Amino acid sequence: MDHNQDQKYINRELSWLMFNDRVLEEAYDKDSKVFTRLKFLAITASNLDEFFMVRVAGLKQQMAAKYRKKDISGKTPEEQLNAIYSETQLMMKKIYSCLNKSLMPKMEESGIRFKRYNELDERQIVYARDFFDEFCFPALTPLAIDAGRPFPLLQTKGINIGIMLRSADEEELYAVVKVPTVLPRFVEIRSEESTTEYIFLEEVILNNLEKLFIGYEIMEKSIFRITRDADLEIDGDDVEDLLLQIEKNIKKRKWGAAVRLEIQSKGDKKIRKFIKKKLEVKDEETYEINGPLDPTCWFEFIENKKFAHLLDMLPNPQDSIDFFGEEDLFEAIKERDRLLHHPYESFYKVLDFVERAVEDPKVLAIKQTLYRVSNNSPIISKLIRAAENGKQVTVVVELKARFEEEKNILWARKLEQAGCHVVYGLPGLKIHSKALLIVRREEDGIHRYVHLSTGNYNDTTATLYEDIGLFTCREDICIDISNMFNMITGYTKALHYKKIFVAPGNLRTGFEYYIDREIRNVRAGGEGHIIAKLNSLIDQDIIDKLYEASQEGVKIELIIRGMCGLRSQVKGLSENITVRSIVGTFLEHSRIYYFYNGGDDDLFLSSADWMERNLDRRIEILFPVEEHLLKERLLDFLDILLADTEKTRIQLEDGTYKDLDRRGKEPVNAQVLMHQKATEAIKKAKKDMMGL
Amino acid sequence: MNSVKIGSIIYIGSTEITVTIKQIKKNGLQMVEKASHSIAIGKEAFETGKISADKVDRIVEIVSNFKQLSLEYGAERIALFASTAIRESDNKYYIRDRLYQETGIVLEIISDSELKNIIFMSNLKVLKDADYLKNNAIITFIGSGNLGIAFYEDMSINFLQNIMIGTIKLYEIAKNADKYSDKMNIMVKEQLYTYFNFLPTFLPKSNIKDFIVTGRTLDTLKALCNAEDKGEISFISKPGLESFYNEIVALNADSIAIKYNLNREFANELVIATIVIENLLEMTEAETIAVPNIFFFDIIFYEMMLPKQYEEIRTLFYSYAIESSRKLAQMYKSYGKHIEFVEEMASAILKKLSKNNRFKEKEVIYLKIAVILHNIGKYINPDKHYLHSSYILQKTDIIGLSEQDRKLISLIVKYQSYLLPTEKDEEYAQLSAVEKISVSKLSAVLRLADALDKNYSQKFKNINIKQQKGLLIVEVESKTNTYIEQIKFNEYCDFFKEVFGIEVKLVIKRGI
Repeated sequence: MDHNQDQKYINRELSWLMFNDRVLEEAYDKDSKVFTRLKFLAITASNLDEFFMVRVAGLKQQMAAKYRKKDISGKTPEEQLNAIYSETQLMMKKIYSCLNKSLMPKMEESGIRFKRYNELDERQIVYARDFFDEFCFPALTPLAIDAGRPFPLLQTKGINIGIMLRSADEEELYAVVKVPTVLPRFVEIRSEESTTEYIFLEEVILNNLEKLFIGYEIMEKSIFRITRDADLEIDGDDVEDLLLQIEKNIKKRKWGAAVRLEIQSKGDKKIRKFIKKKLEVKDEETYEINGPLDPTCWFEFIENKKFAHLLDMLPNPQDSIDFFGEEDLFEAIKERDRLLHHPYESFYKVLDFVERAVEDPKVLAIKQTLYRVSNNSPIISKLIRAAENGKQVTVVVELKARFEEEKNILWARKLEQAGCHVVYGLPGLKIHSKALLIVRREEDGIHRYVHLSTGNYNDTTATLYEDIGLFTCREDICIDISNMFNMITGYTKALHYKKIFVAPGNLRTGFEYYIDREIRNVRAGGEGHIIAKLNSLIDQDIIDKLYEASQEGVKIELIIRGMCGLRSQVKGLSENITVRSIVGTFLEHSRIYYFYNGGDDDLFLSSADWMERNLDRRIEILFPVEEHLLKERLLDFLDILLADTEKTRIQLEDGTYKDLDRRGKEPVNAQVLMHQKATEAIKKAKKDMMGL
Repeated sequence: MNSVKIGSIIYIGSTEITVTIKQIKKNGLQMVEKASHSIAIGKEAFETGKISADKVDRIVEIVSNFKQLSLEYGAERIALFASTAIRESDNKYYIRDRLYQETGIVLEIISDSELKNIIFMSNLKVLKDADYLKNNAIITFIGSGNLGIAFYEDMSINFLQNIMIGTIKLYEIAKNADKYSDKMNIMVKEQLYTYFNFLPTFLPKSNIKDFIVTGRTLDTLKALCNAEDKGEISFISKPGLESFYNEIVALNADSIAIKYNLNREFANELVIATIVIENLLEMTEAETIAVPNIFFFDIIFYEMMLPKQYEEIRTLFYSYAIESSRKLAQMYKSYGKHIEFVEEMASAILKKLSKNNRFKEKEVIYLKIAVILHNIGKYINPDKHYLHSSYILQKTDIIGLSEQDRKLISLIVKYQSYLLPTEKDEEYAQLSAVEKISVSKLSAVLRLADALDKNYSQKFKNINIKQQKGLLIVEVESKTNTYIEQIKFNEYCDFFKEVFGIEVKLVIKRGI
């Protein structure tokens, strides 16, 4: 049966919006506490900000360049944008509907109330005015707009107030006031009731504007927020200039073209028209917001310790079962491969491993890739100390990690100052692989130890995102990783790898080989089975290969958290493919690829998704898990994910997602169960150790 | 120098720079890290006689990176070598200075013959360890700038020829045929014939059962011909090579590069190497091509890290040099009892002198070879034969000897009789002070030893050499007329005294 493009593939942007919708569903989850729900609301909004800054901006650039090439689903950039606008308008409405109708009342039930200015009592008005005079006024700079003073450059994602004024001689004038980011967004106002009452900062400013424009009458005012194009273009191939060029582009990013205007729906019409005209924003790019702008502000609010009880406690990461009772980590790894599953197991063991390497006189060198690290990252300080201890430290810093560039430049310089050999990635290729290599001189010679991971070396996100790390000293894998570092650091050309697959290079062909092998096995009369857990599946060649495999009778179970360009369960195309999505608390981030191979199975972990960018434009690795015990452990994990009934959404033939039909099924929440298993495993190990 | 446990060798070749880091493990060497970086300097050096500033910057950067990599593995010693490309450049000393200034490593620029010796010694080590050298064999090294061919016969390497034409140069010659791929192999073959046509003269008399090849293209060739890996040696079957050969001669370099995912320059080299191998294979009865899995500089690692094993190979190698010299002397019809007698005399004198003179092992070999070959020039013309002997020696490849070794031996031979070392002799004047002394001392010994058998009759028996304070006494017995020997001996005493600072006296016992 022939299928047209639209029947075969789902547009990546629309698929991404469906994913963000699934994140938003977590904000609707009544089983979660209100602050947890607020957190997911903020994540949804933050995701959407990035989507506009990068994806929508990219499509707009394509349109401006009159680029009309259709995507895999057969849509032109214009058609994609139109679909995005209508979907995002709906999404914004859903976000505020959730906030206003569900979360705000829920907070009120918990003693937190947000007031509009006109709802303040007299005493509160006095407080708000004093607050304005004392804190806001000194921080505000009204920016007038007239023939001599153009519309000011407003920073992306900042909140502003547009004002139309009339002078004493009846002259109309416009001005903008930026809402200062140095002040708290949530202004607590004293209340005589037991509730804690807040007013948003912009409300206080909005209602005291006359103090800024003495001699003028304020005719209209409106709160607005703009999102700008933030897609960094790195030109040329000169690595030496990479750092400087990125620094320059970060500055430019703040002033990219506006791609979205959010404006409070109660704003006045004339001023709105004026802002839209000045920012060159079309109607469809304008979002009327029924509530406080920028829901990412809730990230800050839920940090308030006073209301800690309103946030679901994240389960405590457990000690690693694989390293249980092992004092000497190097010896333990030498004995067999070890695995860490975050956040069920603590990231501490990775830090401990680095720490031991830093202090171990036998360790000669440490090499590490760093993509996103936490603020005050302990990894950075350990690497600095390693260099100070005389170790050869090589750090491959990916400066192009989106929205982390400034931070990365800062600590990269710190590492350099400490004497680390810092390599700023490769032009045109983001270094996305996560690898740590330790060279140790032991009694019988040089030994190498590696830690390879699906997630970043970030101690903060390791408590929030699900990821898997593997420790090994298998010589062929270690040599491969050495070669990869040599290639990244420019020491050598790309080489042939024995065990791992590296993109760009053999990663794509590697995946194709393993899928083809399943096809061959089925054709030979055997069974074919693929399980892949990943974040996104967009690459057309891989999708086509999976369709081919499905049509040949290979059973394919995909667990894809985010975008999926493949349509599952379509007759004659993908009947043997199921697509599940689990977001849950821990944003399933690890990538696992399993190929049955007639029982002689192969299981891989990777930093790469099935996306063109991962397979062709990034340095990524796919590495095998060969230790039988660890393979069993990961297969068990995949079984649990496939058995999940609580957080799983299943993709339908039309590409939309729905809850799993739970009838007749034992309720299983995979993430809760994984945590239970990690806890029980440690408990049991402790008991066993004590002989109980 | 203390031996090291982890060593690193960086080599600047014509098309790439490589670093190899090895460690001692279980009484052998184990690879720790190997990396290479492409940089085409050979073509530029061959064509312009110079390496451009940009390329020099890159060389320094790559060597610095490789030094860093070596330190990451705790390398205790880093050796840096360069051969043809750097050596052929007029700015080689500037490059060496920059490398030293920026990396602190001294670049050793080695001659082709030194490189060949290093490679042959490395090969030999592997072949001996694998107990492989049992049959007569051709051993070949295929480099970018040169070709080395050795014949192994009767447990020794008897012939070695370095041909200054490698894969790059052959490609340059044949590239015009690239458009007509089927003709390229013909052009290369014809070019090779001009070098190979003399080889059968030197080929081992009995059947050549083994064919051993090394070279930088061999790793790729092994993979493409599905070679069988047997640990220390891999074997390419004759049909495997022939099938690959037939496949590539029908393609041009671009198609080969695309088909086998190689860069174009390397594809060219591979094609040429395959044609060379195919040609040499025809001279043998070998059914497989043995490719020792070596790193060319392995022997340097042994020198650095396992000196005892290095000594064993070096001794073996020197024995090949001596055996090879004997074959050469036979070829020039100058080997016989006289040589054997002079060899014995020279050895006995040197041994006695060793008490007060520190002769290196290499100097002992120099003297031995000088003795063996001192008369080969007579084949050309007995008149001033010392000049002819000297010239032939300089121009003949001998396994185990570098160009400089041969130069020193040729001078020892040159000063065997009529001529004496003097600064007026340009060849002598160019030597270092140490080399000058060495040449003078060894030629002084050769002269005395040769004088003792001046009329080729081995008149002296029961030779006894004694050393007293300031005097070396050569005590011999003879029942025949020994005037000519006495005259010559006395004639050479002055030079001996000048060099060693001691008198020398010939005492002949009569009446036996």
